[in-house]
Amino acid sequence: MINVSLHGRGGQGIKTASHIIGTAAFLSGSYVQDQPLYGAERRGAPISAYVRISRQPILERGTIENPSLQVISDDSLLESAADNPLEKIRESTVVLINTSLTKSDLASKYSLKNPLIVFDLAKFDPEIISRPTLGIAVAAATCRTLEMDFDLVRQSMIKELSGIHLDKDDIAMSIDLAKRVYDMVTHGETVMEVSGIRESGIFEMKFHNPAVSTCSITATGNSMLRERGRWSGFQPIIDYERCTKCMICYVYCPDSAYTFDSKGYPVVNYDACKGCNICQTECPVKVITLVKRNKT
Amino acid sequence: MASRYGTLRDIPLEEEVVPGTMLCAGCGGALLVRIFEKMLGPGAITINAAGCMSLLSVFPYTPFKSSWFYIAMASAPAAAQGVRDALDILIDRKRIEREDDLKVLVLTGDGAASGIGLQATSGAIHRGLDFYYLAYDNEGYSNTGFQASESSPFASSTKTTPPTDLAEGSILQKKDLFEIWRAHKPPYVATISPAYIGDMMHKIEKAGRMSGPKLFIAHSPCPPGWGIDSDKVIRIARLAVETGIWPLKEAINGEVTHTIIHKKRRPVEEYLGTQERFAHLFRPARNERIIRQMQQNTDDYWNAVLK
Repeated sequence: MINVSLHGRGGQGIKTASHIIGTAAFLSGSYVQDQPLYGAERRGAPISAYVRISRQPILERGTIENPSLQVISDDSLLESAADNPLEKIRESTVVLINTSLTKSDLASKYSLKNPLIVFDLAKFDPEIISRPTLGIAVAAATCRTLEMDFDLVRQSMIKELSGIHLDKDDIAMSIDLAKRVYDMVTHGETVMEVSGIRESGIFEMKFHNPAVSTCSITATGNSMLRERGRWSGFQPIIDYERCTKCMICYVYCPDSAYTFDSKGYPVVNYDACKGCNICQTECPVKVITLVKRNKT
Repeated sequence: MASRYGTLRDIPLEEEVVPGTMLCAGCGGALLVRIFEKMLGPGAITINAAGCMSLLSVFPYTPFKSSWFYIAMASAPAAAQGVRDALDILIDRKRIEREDDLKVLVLTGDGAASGIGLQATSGAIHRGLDFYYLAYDNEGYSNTGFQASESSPFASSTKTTPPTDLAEGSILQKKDLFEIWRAHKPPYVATISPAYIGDMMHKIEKAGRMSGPKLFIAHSPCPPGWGIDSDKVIRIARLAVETGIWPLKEAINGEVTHTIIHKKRRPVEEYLGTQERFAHLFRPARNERIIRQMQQNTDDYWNAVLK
C-alpha cells in the first residue's frame, strides 16, 4: 500500500488535490481512500489530506501516520514549530515539496536524510500560493511522482472539477496547468510501499473519570502561545504622518490585533494579524497600505 | 437613559478575547464575538454550541480571559440554565459574593439557533432564564463547508443547494428567527450588524439593564462560505443594511422598533452582486425574475414597517 499525506493551507485546494490523486489511482484499478483531515479547515490555516492506494482492499482508517510520500504545498509550513510536516515522517518517506530551495539547502536546513523531490511553482506564477489552483499543481506533481499516466490525471480532474461546479474553460485551464507541472517534476526517487493492516483486533476501552478523560484548559487568554505560522503573505503598514487616530482600524479588527501607543496611534501586532485587510479597506483616510511580508 | 457610548471612540479598550484563534482571516463572527465580549466586560461565561466558534478554544489554547463552556449544538441554552442555577445557588450559600456573579452568554451559529437548538432556546426563553444569546448568523453551516441551514437565504448557493437546471440555489426562504424569538415576548431581542458597531453597543448596553432573556441575532459575513474577499466583510454587512435586506431592529417585551432606517434603500442587487453565492443570478445571464422577486420581498417588508 502507498500512503500519501498532503499538507497545505486552507484555500489552496489541498482537499481537491487529494480527491484528484485518489480518483486517478482508482481509475487505474487500485483500491483507494482519499479524505481531508476533517474539522478545522480554515482559510490560511495549516490543513492536511490523505490518500491510501492499494492493490488489495484497504482495512486501515483515519489519518496517515507513516506516509510513503509526504507532499508539502507551501514551504512556509516548515516555519511552524508546532505543525511542521517534516516532524511526522519516517526515514524512508519520500518528501515532495514546493519550494525555491534546492535539495541540498533543504536537506541541510532541516537536517533531512529523506529522499527529496523539489519543484518550484513560484517560477510559473509568483501568486499561485494564494490561489485554489495550487491544489491542482500539487495533485499533478504527486501523480507524476507516483508514476501515474497523465491521461488518468486528466480524466480524474474532469470528474472532480465538474463535481465542484467549475465551468469547462476553468477545467481546461486547470488541466493545462496540471500538464505543465506534470512535465516539470523530475525525480529519481521511488516511493516505497508500506504494509497495511491485514487483520483487525478488538480494543477494550476503559472508563476514565471525565476530570482526566476530557479536555480542560485551566489557563486564560493563552492563545497567543500557539505557533500559527504565516496566515497571509501581506501585512498592513500605517502611515503615521497622515493617521487621524479615528480608531476605525482598531474597531473593525476581528483578531484584536490592534492596540494603541501612548499618543493614541494604532499599532499592529503582526503576530496576531491574519492579513484579512479589513483595516485597509475601512480606513477613512486611506493611510494603511499592504506590503509583502518578509520571509523569515 | 443616556448612553455611555456616544461614538465609536467610546468602545471599551480592554480585550476579553485575545488574538491567536484558528478562525478564518476576516471572520465576521469573530469581530462580533470580540465586540460583544468587550461590552459584557470581564466576568462573562460563554456557553458555546458546536459551530465555527468551536475553533475559538482548541486544546490546550483559549483566547478567552474568562470561562468558556463547550456543548453540543442542541444544548447551549440548557447548559446556560445549569450554569445560571449553579451561580445562584453559590450566591445563596454565600460561597461567592453577589458582586462576583458572572453574566451568562450563549454563543451559537445560525444552524444551532434556527434549527438544531431552537427547542432548547424556546424552553429557556419561556422559563425567563437570565442570559444573553448571541447568534452569529452566517447563513449556513460554515464550519463543515457551508451546507444550507434554515437561515440560508432564498436563491443562495450552498454545498447542498447548488444552482442547477432545476433550481436557482436554495428554494426555501430564510427562517425568521427574530419573529420566532419575539413571539415568546422576551424582555429584549435585537438584530445587530458588524458594520453598525455604535448601534450594537447601544443595544447591548440597553439589554444589560434588563433581567431575563436578552437575545441578539448578528449578521455575520463569512468569506469562504459567501465567496467574498475577507477585506470586504464590513462593506458587505453595511450593504445588507443599506439595501434593507438586514433590518436593524429591537423588540422590548415584544414591541418592535427599527433602530436604523434608510429612507432611500439601495437596490438589493448591489448586495447580491458582491457575493459568489449569488453569482448565478448574474452569470452567465441575468436572472431578472429572481432578482425582482428578492427586491419585492424586501420592499414588502419595509412597506409594512414604514406604513
